[in-house]
Amino acid sequence: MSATRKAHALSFKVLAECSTTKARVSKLILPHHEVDTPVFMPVGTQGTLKAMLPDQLEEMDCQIILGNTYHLGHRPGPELLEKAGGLHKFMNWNRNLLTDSGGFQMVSLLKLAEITEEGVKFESPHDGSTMMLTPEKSIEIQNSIGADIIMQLDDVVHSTTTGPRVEEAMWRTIRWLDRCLKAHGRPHDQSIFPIVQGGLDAELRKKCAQELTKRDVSGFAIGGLSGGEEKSQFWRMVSLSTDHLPLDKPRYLMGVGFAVDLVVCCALGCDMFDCVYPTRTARFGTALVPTGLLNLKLEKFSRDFRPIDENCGCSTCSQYTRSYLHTIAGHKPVAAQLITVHNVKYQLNLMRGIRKSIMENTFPKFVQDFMSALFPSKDYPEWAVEALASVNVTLR
Amino acid sequence: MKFAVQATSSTSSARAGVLTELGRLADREIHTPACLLYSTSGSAPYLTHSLLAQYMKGAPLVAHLPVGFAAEHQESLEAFGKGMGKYAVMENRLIFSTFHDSAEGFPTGFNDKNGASVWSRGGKIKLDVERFIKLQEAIRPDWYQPLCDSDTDRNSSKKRLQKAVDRTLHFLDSCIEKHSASQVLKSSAIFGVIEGGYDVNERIRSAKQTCLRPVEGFILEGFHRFGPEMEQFQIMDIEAVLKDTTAVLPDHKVRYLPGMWSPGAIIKAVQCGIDLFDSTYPYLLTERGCALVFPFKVSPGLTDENIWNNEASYHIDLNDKRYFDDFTPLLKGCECYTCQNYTKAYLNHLCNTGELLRGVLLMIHNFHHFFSFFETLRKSTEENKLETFRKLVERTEVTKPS
Repeated sequence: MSATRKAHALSFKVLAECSTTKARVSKLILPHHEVDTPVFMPVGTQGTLKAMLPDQLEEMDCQIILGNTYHLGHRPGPELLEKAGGLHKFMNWNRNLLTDSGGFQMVSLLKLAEITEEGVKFESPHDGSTMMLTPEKSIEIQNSIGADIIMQLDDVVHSTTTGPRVEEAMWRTIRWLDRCLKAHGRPHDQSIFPIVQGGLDAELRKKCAQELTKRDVSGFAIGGLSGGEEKSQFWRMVSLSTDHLPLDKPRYLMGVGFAVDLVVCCALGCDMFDCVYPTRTARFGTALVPTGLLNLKLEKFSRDFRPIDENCGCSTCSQYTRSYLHTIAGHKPVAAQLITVHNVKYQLNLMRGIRKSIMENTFPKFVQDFMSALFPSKDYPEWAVEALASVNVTLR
Repeated sequence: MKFAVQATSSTSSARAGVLTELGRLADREIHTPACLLYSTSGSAPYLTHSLLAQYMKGAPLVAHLPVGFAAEHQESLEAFGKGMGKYAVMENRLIFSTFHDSAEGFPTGFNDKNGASVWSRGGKIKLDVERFIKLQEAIRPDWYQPLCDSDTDRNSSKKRLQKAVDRTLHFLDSCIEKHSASQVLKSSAIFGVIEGGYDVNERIRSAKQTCLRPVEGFILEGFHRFGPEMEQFQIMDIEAVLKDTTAVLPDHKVRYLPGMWSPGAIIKAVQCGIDLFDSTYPYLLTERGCALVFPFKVSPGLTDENIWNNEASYHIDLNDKRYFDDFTPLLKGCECYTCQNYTKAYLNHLCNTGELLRGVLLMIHNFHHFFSFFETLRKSTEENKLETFRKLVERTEVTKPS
């Protein structure tokens, strides 16, 4: 069932499939480096993964990170990035980059964003003048940034939106995809991923996936989810989306990064994920562990001389105690460094565990063990139970 | 510890020396003049243990840790039971527990005959001798500064200066008494603190009295209250007092002058007989988004004339728009990790966006530059070439932007 497709700047090969769920382990080869999927991609919004050096990321074998086009397009801007030889060179990261289109952030960060057929109209944060981000412009900026995977500009609606707007956005997304593909200046070393929209409407989503599949692209993103909708609807839309996307191309579920969500969505057939949560929460003093979260700012850690996680193996856990981290968490840059390193390692460890168990065809057991550690009293979230049951995993 | 002078100057009180028999790190040596690694809240600013080990191999062997942090977390440290070095993952370095945080100023008026105050994140902590020694027992320092009253400056009255000298001696005696009775502090070296403001008589009195006590080195304080205001401090105002003070101190013990001294001031202080300095100055510059670039390599052909014709600058401000598209490293030829891998343009971007990585990369460069400066300073002192060296460094300080 696995297949290799060499498509311009990306090749993808499924190495093993879970015989119970829709999970699979694959090898994704991009211009800068290979990527083992399912993969979690940490987010380095402004051309830096906050407090971490690229070398530290490489050391923990992180293979791909994100940059945000909206931010980078503003500062330092696409012209400067081109002059610098691209974002990879600018930030000294030699492995893979993925950029989003800039559309989502625009809509969520800018008050006066208005969406027209032409593009996203917004008020410039510099001087208040009206500007327009078109599909062509988004691709042009992303061509300058130089990421290995770039995203189409999509017409994003909030996941809780209902009514005709959702369908309008779905069709427009398809039309914008075609404009993006046409405008793409670097198909030989950058792959455009379309984004499946359709809100929480099964028919629209299915239609969208079918349309996008007709285009000559190397992978797909699933968008418009993970934005505050009911989790029971979230998982159904994710599963529906993967059901209608080709098996031999990667599926990127945008904005998902909570541990439970990652595990479940791998079971539902997703291959790539991104989320600011692990790195952001680190800067606020919260560490991720198999049993949940440790808010290291809490007084209860002042005399806890254990590492964050005895089994982690990151440089923070091999040397620092929770007690010491408590003294600096949330207010010293070194704390941001130390906890970010751990949280990224945690995410990478989790994905490694997922991949290993799929390879060994013991993924259902992995899921069970993972959920038991997180919910020792078996108070599993309802939506997760349902979602896993839909792919033949029954939680005990 | 043992300190031996290896070279002296014919024209100043400068000396090059070496510290050995360093207790816990007995196989190591420290060549002076030297600086110590600034470690606020137990860690070097922006640099974790791994980053220090990987990118700052030449970093100083001794870390100076202001005691306020330990005071705030005394109970945790006591429960931990293995000392601050291990707690803060600094045990590969000698831990020097100092009193005030020399990167921060401290307010006046919070010391009295019973104790002195330090500040931490939670606010003021007043330490009396008993609590202070108990605190040091939790810290387990390799070196420590005893309780002292350094709350004086150029404007302090004679009466106030006398109080500072007397109290500091009294605190020292009480600390020594408790220190001698302490098992835990057996292998910790206690320093003596010399007070007296700008008053040469009080300074000499303080120095002579302190010498009579069994201290292993001297700390000169009480000229100012630390903090970034020290940038405006004119070391020439205290040169005479410094010289007169060090003149009555024994040669075979080190002298430490904490504070955010600029490199030019450091050289002058070395010429007044000082051996050790802290590294808060590169930290100050890092916080501002600046990178040190002043030249300090004394090449054989360097004369007074070509020093003055040298157009090199002192530091650059990475916030400046002119670096927006400058793809050269911070300092051409610098071998630090930052200069080998990043450009001014990238640092400018990090400054504009307020990103944390700015601090990491600048601290690596600034520490590297500062520590390299000290290497050359040591060499110049050993080779009796301090004057030329001083002129080179001062030349660029004159041209530095205010």
